[in-house]
This record gives sequence, C-alpha cells and structure tokens, in this order.
Amino acid sequence: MESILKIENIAAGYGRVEIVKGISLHVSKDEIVSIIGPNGTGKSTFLKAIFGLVKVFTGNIFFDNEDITGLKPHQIVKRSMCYVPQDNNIFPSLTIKENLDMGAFVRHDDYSKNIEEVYGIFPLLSGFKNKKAGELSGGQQKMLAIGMSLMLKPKLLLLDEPSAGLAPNMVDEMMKKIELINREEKAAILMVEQNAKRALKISNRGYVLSMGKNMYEGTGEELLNNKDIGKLYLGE
Amino acid sequence: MPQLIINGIIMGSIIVLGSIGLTLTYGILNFANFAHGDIMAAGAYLCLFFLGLNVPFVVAVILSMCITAGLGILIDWCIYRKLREKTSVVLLIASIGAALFLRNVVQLIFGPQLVYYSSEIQMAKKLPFGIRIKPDEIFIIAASFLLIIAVHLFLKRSRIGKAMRALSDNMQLAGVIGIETEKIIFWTWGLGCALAAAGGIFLGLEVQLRPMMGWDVLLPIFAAVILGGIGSPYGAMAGGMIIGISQEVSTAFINPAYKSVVSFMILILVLLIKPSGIFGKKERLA
Repeated sequence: MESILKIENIAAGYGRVEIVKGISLHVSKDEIVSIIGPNGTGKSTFLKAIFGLVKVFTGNIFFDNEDITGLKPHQIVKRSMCYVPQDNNIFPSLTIKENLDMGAFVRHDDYSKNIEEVYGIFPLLSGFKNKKAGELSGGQQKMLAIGMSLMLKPKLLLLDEPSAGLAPNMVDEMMKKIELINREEKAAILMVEQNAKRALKISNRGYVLSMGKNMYEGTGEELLNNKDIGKLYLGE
Repeated sequence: MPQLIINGIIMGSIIVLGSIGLTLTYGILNFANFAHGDIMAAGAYLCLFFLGLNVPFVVAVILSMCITAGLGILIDWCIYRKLREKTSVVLLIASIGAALFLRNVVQLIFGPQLVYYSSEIQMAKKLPFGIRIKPDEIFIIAASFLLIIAVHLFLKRSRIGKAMRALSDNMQLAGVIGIETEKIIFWTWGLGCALAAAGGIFLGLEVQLRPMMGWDVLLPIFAAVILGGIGSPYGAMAGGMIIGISQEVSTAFINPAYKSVVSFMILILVLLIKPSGIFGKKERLA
C-alpha cells in the first residue's frame, strides 16, 4: 500500500530546545499506526510538528507525495490532514451542531450528509445536537472532537492521546470507534497513546520512541509480544 | 419606580451596545481594550459631523457606524496586531495610549465644550404608570433592540459569527481546525466598533457630547462585561441591562451623583463571588 505520510529524520522543538531528535516514520493509506513510549519523550511534540504547530528544525515531512514541512496548520487542514489535540479540543459554549459546523469551516459545499455520517459513528452525539458542548462528559467531548475532524473527510487523522482521562469501558469504546473510522471513513490514523497495550491491539504497526528518537518499530503484535518493550513500556 | 426602570433600560441599551464589542475582543485577544469607550465617543462625534452636513439622522448613524468599524480595524491593524505576541499588559497599555490619542483628536477637532445633536426641545410623551419618555428615547430603545437582535442572528446563524464565538472559546483550536483567525479578528473589531459607535451616538442623544464621554461610560461597560462573563456576547447583553437598570433605580435611594458607585459595587461583588461572571467559563488573566 502506498504511504500517505512519510517522515524523514525530523528534529523539532520549542524555541531553541530540541525535543524531537530525529524520528522517521511512515503511514500507509489504510493503516492505524501507534506511537508509544515513556512520558516526556516527545510523542506529542512530534505529532504537533507534523501538523505545523511546532517548529521543525531539520528533516522532511511528505503528505500525499507533497512536501509539507513548514506549512501552517490551516494550510495542512486544507490538504485533508486533521489533528485532534489531547485537551481543549472542543468549543464549550457552542452547541454540538455548531462545533461540527466549525469542523467544516474550510468547506464551502453542502456538508449536511457529512454531519449525518458523524452522528452515525457517534450516535450519542445526535441525541443532543443543541446542547452546549461544555455540558458533555469528558468521553463525549473526545468523541465530539474526533467528530469535528471527520467533517473534513481526512485522509489522515492525527490523534493525541485519544483515551487519556477516559473510564476503562470508555477506552474500549474509543478504540472501537477509531477502528470504525479507519475502516468506514477510509482515514489513515496516526495516534500517540499512553495506553500502549490497548492501542497496539488495534494498530497495524507501532513505533516505540525514547528520548526523542526511534527505538523499535514493528507490527502491533510484534511489539505487544516483545519482552523488552513489555518490561519497559507496557508495565509487565 | 417604573420611570426609573425605563431610564435604566435606556442606559442599559447604551451599555449593552458598548459592551458586546469589548467582551468579544477581550475574550478573543485576551486583553482589556481601554480605548473602547473613546471609540464610542469617536462614533458619536462622527455622527455630529454628518449632521452638520445636513445628512438625515438615521443615515448619519449608519455612516458613523461604518466608519467607526473601519477605525477600529485600523487601530487593530496599526497597533494591536503587532503586539499580539506580547503579554496582555502590553496590549492594555497600548490601548490606553490609543484611548488618549482618540480623545485628543476628538477634542482638537470639535473642542472641549458640551455639544448637543439638536437644540430643539422635545416634549416627553406621557404613558401609563406615570412614565414620561421622549421620542429620542423611544428611538434609542427601539434601535438598540433591533441591533441586538441583528447581532444575535449574526452570531447564531452566520459562519463568521459562529467562528467569532469559537475564537472567543478557544483561539488555538480555531487555528487547528483551519479557521483563519486573523480574518475573524478583523470582522470582530468591525462588528464591535460599529456597535460601540451606535452606543456612543445614543449616549450623546440621551445626555450630551463631551470628549470625555467615552471614558466616563467605560466603567459601567467593564462592569457589564465582567458581570456577564468575559468573552460572552450574551453575558454582555444581560450584564449591560442589569448594570443600567440598577444604576438608575439606585437613584431612588441614593444621591444620583453617586450612581456609578453601583457599577463599582456590582463589579467588586462579582469579582469576589463569581469571578467568571454569569455566562463565563474562562479564567481571567491578569
């Protein structure tokens, strides 16, 4: 399968501080790929760097065979890559419907069908279309945040800790939704996850990062069964 | 008492028009724009200028609103835009500078004396419950009401209006999902300053015009914004009415010269009891 995202040895960070110190990675068009690793290893910063939210010092990012290194988020969004931040990822004083409208802000065509699709994936949301997003539970807010990003029919979805802060049963639910989105919406998914085991179970492949660099790479199963990784990062 | 409530609604309408723009820019750009009152005064004097050219009043109001919107956008473009990366204190001080500049330009052109839009004496109409109301005041209430409805529809229905509320909620997220934030900020200044101009004109119509008029009305406007919750246009509407009515009703019990004390009191109480305001969720910075 052709790759949708290809990253060649990027270094990135804030100001002059280098946090990502040379990571390479690729994601194919139909894949779910997870990035795991200990805290403070630059996973989230790496995701932000792909999306143009953090400065890339060296290296290249290719999306859909186009070099997007250094582009701004609003330019990247127009190329159908969406990013869902870990926190503060909804507009609390807007209703669910208005949040979805904002997700479709860059679209100028009729997106009403798309809204119905999102409600189809997250039936819970369709129950309170006119409720303020700030009144939703934490899990529902995460679903809404992902729903917003689906309004642009993304070819690639970047998810920062989609299960963080969720109750255990909601974590399973979230992972199922991610699989569903990958299958039904034909969106490739690159996610950073603290909940490494759960994430690797649904992932085609995974990358283990350490100190801002690649450590291991393998299929979800390989990484789950690797004893070193198990000891270090999966809490066994 | 019914008379005082009517007076309160008139003042409340003026405060609401002033506070919608202030709360939106405060919420989005996270700084208190002290020049907002003087923007109101500039709008009021622009209207005086057009009346001097024998332009019909309603046309003069609309023209002043448009030009004041442009003035607000220009100030943002020339001053605030360059300071956005700095802390909110830098912006706040810059806005005090802009306020002084505007006020002195007004004074330079129109002089420091009191001015009225019209020298004719209006007869108050008598309504039930002993209410007396001048035709001008009916106009102020009706026009403010129409403007507030228009703003409501704009914020709820239009793409740009929804984006303004989104920016006020979470500017970073707005950027992440592809909203061109600078463009929305541009429209926000335009809307806020046009409404401020209307508020200033109505204030001039109800009281009189003075170069200091904007500065004096700034306190109740800030009180309304904070009471309503910073960044919430609906909060500003509710807050403005509450402040306006309680100021006027207070004159039944205290010397009218002290009525702005009421704004202060409400401001202090809100800050102590519910600092986020009626509709606010945001933590206030600085």
